[in-house]
Amino acid sequence: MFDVEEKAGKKIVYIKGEVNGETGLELKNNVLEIFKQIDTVILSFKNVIYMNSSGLREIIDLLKRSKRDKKELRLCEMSGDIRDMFSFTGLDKVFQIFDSESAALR
Amino acid sequence: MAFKVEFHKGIVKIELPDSPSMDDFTKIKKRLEDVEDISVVKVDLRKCSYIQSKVVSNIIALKKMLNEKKAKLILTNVQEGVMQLLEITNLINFVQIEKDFSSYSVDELAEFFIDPEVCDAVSDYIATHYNDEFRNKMFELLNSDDPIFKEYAILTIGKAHDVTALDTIRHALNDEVGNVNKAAILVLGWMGDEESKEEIYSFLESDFIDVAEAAAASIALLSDEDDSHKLGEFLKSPDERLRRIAIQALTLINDDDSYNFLKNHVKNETSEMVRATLAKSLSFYNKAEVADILLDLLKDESLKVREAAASSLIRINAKSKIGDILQRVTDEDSWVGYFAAKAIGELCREKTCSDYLIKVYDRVEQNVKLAIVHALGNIGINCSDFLMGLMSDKNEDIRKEALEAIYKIEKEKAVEMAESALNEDDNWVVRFKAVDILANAKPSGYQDFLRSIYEKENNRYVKEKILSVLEGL
Repeated sequence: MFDVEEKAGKKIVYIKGEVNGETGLELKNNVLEIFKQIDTVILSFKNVIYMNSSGLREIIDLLKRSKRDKKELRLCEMSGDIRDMFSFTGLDKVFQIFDSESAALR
Repeated sequence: MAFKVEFHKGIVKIELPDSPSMDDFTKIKKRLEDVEDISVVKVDLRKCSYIQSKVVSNIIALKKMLNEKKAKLILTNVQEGVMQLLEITNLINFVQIEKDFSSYSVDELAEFFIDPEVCDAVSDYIATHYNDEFRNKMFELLNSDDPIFKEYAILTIGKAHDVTALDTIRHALNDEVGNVNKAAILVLGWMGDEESKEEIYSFLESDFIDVAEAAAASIALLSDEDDSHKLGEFLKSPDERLRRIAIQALTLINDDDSYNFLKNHVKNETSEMVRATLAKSLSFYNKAEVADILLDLLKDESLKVREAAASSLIRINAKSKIGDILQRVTDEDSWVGYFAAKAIGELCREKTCSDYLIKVYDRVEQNVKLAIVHALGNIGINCSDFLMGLMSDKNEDIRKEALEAIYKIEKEKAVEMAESALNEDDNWVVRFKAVDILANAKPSGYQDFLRSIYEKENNRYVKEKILSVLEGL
């Protein structure tokens, strides 16, 4: 469902395929584990084709918990359609969203 | 008043007084000279509504000194009058300028909410550094008479996820200002406040489209297994806008019920705009039959719907349907063929596709021919001979598209054809494209060639294009 790589002292989580309630929960739990070792995690949406409100809820919860633990969550490389979902829900104001992986790594 | 200096982890922050003097800079430089391990020096100009030119030269001198120390100079909170001076002296291109909200008090920051250029950035800053002081200020603004302060206080509290404000934010649903309602609706969605969901439903029919869309989005975020049915009822509304908003919410919920509602509604929807929305929405469902529905929509009576269906087939990467889409290239309705060829150009990279498109080329209408030439360029399989043959087509759009397609497949051949077009083609649109190709390919001696073409070219646009390429060099 996702691959993880470390670059420039940050972990990048490459999400694949679909973000729904089930995969979103798995993603959240894994990222929370990663946050035990590192302060900044970048979620790459490059290969995400499908996403629904249950998946979004898990990502909101992940952000809430990361803020509570003083960790930083960044999102990047969304297709126009996925980005539209974030703007539709106003969540583009809540998350740090970057156009490219390199911008998110800065 | 003197300047202030703060050191923190290699970053030095210097706050200049309203009228900085030469003496201030001498002292600043002296203080920095002895400090090691500086990475950034931020000079805060927020108190300076104007600076003298001698201050500008001191800033340049400071930058030089910092360059030697391998440290970066950033000017922060530059006021408009100073910004103009930096522009006139061309310093703006050599110094990084940014906003540093940490220099402001909580009250000053809140005042920025009424500045449309920085209100979102200030809200982000406060949410990121949220503490009791910020919280108290945001709660104070929640009771403000000014709707802009109220709106931004709600959004900032939402970004900071401060659930202690939940009751007040719920109360803002009753505010008489649409933007305050919208902010409250969104934040209640972000906070997962299921108790507000029923009340939010009433905003779906708001006169303000932004409020109605926010309501749809938050209902989707707060949804349970019953909401698809409730939203599905809105698909029967005579109000087209409401049907479209309901489709957006159902798409975001994305469960089996919402899928069935949308799938069945495609057959009954009378508005082409709403059908186009449906064609897009269905592509967000990971279901095998979606590709077949979209294939049917390629034959919809509306061009908008066909276009949306073709884009959706591309979006879901419907490679398994390439055979079916290819068949539609020769449809008796040429616009079906047009959108089918467009989709093939995005989905297929195989020789079988380019061979088929070349085979049917002579049998199709002009608009389909154009889409085929475009698709051949995208597919990328070498068919330069066929495309070069099109350079003598009597339609200039075909010649232009063929030149572009050759460029995508074989750059050297495209350069040859572009040079030839600049000498011989009688249509300026083709010659314009030819200049574009030479500018991108940059073959040896192309500047001299373009100069010689410029002399004999008589079309204004082509001449301007050549000039812009040569001047760019």
